[in-house]
Amino acid sequence: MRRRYAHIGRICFLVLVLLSTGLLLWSWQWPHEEARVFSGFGQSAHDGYLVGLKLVAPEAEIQPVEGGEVVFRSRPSRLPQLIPSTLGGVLVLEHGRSFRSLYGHLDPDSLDYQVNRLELEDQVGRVGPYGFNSGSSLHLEIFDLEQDVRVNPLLLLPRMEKRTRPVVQAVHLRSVNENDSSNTAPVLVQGGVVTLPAGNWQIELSSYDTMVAAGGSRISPHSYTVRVNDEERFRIAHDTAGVREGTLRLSGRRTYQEFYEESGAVRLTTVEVGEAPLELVIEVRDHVGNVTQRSFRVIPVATE
Amino acid sequence: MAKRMRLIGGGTMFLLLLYLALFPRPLGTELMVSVESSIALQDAEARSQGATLPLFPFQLAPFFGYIDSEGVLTYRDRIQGGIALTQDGFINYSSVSETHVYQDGYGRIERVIQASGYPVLRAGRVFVLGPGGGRLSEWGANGAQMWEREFASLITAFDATDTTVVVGLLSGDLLVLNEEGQEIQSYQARRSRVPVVYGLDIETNGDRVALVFGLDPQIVTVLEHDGERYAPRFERELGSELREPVPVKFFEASGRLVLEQMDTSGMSSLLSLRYDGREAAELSLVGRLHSLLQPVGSPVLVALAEDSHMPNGFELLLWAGADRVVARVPFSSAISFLGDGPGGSLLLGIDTRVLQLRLEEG
Repeated sequence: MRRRYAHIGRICFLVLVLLSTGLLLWSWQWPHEEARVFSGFGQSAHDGYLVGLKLVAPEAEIQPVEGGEVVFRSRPSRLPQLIPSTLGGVLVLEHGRSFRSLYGHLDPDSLDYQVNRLELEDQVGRVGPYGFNSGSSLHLEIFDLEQDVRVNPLLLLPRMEKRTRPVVQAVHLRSVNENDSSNTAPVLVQGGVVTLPAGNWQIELSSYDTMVAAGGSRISPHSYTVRVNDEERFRIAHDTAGVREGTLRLSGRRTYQEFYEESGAVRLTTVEVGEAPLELVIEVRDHVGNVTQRSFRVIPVATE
Repeated sequence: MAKRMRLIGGGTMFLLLLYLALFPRPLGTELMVSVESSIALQDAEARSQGATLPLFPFQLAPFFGYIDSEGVLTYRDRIQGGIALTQDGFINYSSVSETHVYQDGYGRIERVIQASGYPVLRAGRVFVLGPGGGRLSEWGANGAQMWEREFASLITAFDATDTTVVVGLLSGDLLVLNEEGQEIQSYQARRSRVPVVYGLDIETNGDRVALVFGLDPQIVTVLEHDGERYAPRFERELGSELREPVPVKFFEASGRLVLEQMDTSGMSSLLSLRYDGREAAELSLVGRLHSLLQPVGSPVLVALAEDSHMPNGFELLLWAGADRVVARVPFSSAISFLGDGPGGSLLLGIDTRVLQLRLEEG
């Protein structure tokens, strides 16, 4: 009997957690009704990951993603002790539940330096070409203080309507054998079958996503999965970015240099080609759940 | 007659003794402020030949430049997007620059740095803050990157000596880095309800780090180096809730730590603390603090505050090491710069002119 009550208690607890999470997500809003996602979380930006979203909203007055307490705002100053703000005018709100949202590239004159709390309907400030910003885009970051990571805002903001799938432009396989000193060009996978010499091959993927509200801008998809012979071998998502040993890591794992090729392609995982053929499936998923899949068969060939 | 003379003499002596008893010390010296030179930047021509070292930088938008130790303008140029300016040299950068050119006080190119972000010059070292505000790198004399480091949240405060770097973060963490950019200590300034580092300063010799952090309450703490690591010397709650970068500075010549604070009604003041945390003085300001310095060799601290009641109005506040306010000088013109000048003088940028002010006690 006691076990049964414990089971019911567990279920109630889970329902409560789900409800509170639902309420948390429900209350968030986009900073501007017509904002378009220009660059996505984890995308390549100035030799590093973009750890937020870049939203195009020229000269727009923007609103907070949720009501919160103002915990930081930059102020233009010539005091030599203070550092320049690469994000121009900045405002940070604390929303409780360990979340903070940061709004950058704001017009410093549009910030209200008297207000200590903003509600959903209030104005944060006006977006403009302030700080290291060639256009007029808003920089939005979400921090999870408890986990000490930045979180992809697309996971928390209301879902944009989207029916298009992520686009896979090319899949390459690059030889990464220790004894292979020759800088062999990567093999482009064009059909459903590829023949490769035995050894270790790294999968490199060129892909992008477009969102209806993104106005055609190419942004990073949400996640990549590699399955080998029906077994999930690798998965990485643009969900969080945290720092370990002074280096920013996507999903707590990959550094920028480990993840991105100079061409912009992403390095997924390495597969070992032996004597038996392999069935490879690459899945690219967007933030809404649409999936694009590429499957191919790797047939080993004997080398002299 | 002789008796009368003795009476007068005795009376005079009594009055003199009484005066000395009542006022045992001189009434005090007075601070004299005189204008030594004035340079109109619009028309002035820079003359670098025959310049006498050292050079003193000034910044008066849209211009910046240097004057030499005789008060002669030696270099002048227009500020692009921003300027990192010290006595040794400068980087004049555009707002989206990916190349930074470090030039000396004569405008000669010393090194070229390929880095995105904004440069910060401290203790003769060149740092670059990344475009997202969470990355810091250091660049050597040959223009090569020495180290680079990412931080888990926005860098809100930063300072360095020739061997140590201290970084304050939005998360409320203080990180101490060595010359190679490796973390040697972290300090979690998270005692307040809202943890954020708002301001910090490190002494030139690296002995002490001052830190202003948190909301509810806002706290100032001084960490002292005990030979191995920094440990809190004192912590003091402030009656302040500044949610912006807070200017805080050690004045080593006076043994004071000075910081800006603001009460709940929005009134700004300067809090001057001794190194043991005891309050030395609290001086009210007419508005937000603009600049703060101590001229070389002078016992006087100088603060410039924006006058919140007068557009373009400023007040120059001078106070002595004993925390006695010496003078409050109101200005009705736009002041955009306050800096060190030759021979312990002050450089003041007013409208389009750079004034060299001499402070003398006499």
